[in-house]
Amino acid sequence: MHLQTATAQLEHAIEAGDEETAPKLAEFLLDLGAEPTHVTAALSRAMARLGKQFQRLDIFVPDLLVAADAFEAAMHVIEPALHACEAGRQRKGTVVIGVVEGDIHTLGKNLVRVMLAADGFQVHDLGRDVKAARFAQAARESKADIIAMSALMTTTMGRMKDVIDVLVSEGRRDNHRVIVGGAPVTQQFADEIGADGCAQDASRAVALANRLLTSDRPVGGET
Amino acid sequence: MNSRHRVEAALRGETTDVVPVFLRDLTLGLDVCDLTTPEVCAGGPGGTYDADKSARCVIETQRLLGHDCVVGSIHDLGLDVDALGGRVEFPEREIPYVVEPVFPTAQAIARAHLPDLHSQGRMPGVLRAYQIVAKALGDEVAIAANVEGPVTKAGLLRGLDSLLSDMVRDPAAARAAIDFAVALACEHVRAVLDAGAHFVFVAAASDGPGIIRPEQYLEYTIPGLAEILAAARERGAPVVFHPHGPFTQERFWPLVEAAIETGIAGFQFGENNDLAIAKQRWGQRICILGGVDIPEVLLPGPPERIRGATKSAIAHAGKGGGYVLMPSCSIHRGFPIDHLTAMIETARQGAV
Repeated sequence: MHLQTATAQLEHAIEAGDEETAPKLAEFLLDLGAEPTHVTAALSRAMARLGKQFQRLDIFVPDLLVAADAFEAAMHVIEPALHACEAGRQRKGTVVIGVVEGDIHTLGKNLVRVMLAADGFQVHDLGRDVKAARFAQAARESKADIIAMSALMTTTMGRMKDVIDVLVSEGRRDNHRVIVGGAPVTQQFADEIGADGCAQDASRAVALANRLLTSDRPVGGET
Repeated sequence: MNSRHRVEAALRGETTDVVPVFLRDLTLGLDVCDLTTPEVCAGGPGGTYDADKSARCVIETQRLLGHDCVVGSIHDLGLDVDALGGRVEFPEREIPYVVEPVFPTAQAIARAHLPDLHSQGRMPGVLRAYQIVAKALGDEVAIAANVEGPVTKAGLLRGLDSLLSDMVRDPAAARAAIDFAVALACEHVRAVLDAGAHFVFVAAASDGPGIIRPEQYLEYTIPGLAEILAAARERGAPVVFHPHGPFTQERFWPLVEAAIETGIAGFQFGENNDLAIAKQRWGQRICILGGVDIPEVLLPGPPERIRGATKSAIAHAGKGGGYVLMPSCSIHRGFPIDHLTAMIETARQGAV
């Protein structure tokens, strides 16, 4: 099988959520002599297409979940090779991501994590029910460019401001961009708590993160 | 026309003196009575549910705000979970949440048995709360039995991520979890109607194209909804269905049609829907419920904006009756009460 064909098949396996085939194809591509970044680019293209389809509701959460599993299985295979090459160590930026304290709804956060990783970000996932101090600590330790927070409930979204308050109190608010998302979270809410942006789905979160990294000032939100 | 008559008339598609209001306030009463979440939801003997305090929350909130319809107890999403061996966390001033689902593996579903809602877990307290509320308010105010929809309840029991993955990778496991959830929902319907509720509200946040594929909705949600309806019909109670998703987009109209064909009395449209389209397309066949967007309007306010949105909703869906004004989804503790007052007062002005 040629490089081009295997690459196309890998993209197809990701889009089909084929968790068994995707890592095998990733490994096969490396064996063929493909650069690790060639493989990650293929993964990224596939996930980006899925993100756009999801935004249009042409595909739905179950489709994205299994694709995310296939993506992570493929990444697991290529990560050693990726770390070994200089180009592979170059990431767009570092993101610390988590679901705020009192909230355990990880589905949206997981999708954002995978889409950010697919787009070339280094992502540190703090999981669910994450206290404000933990967000701040992880961001400090990893020198994160961006803190990404998720909340699904109106009762927990207020915790996002707690994180920003901690950053302010530590004098480090300007060290990190803060983005927020989740079903009840709006741009107006993001503005009120002093976040740098709000995204309504995983694709928009990736676009927002990219814009923030190239912007000197906080952006006004994703459209 | 009292509140109960108003809601019942609207559910039959009839005209009402003013548009009835249903807040579906599931935990707001905890704030009204200044009670912590654990002392109500797990404050009874042995960590059971405190029926008296729960009922007090519902009754005092209704007396404060004057809405036409209540859920008959403080409601949380873990009511079945602890009875079946999962684990629920009860934060002091927030709402309970499931930390360990009932079915960590697909195999666990096959071993599960339906709990006895009258003797196991926290449900006996919930049922007692419904009885107290029905006695105090039931002649005057409509009481809804809040019951989770097929995929929604199965997601709480299995874990939503796992259930949705099962739908693609292990459909038999997804089917087993949803069948179990539907059987449990039917038990809820019977028990809560017997405890004094007047109609069934199927809360189905994960049952719709906000989450699942249309074909999965037709495969899992609609047959489950039909079973819930059959259980409600045994008690002569109407059913309102509230899945999430942009149902007024033309490509999703068949999903609304499929729900109507099961025999529902009403459909609540959540966020990202056009009530004018809903009224025009389905208003002659079912009651339309919905109205004020929570994240965009009702939560941030200000009250003047809420009044405008309320008037707009009533103008689009209220004409000719068969309409119940609601927030776009459920209301919980921490919500600004003056925002709800603005919505209710505007509806009371009869701005149809």
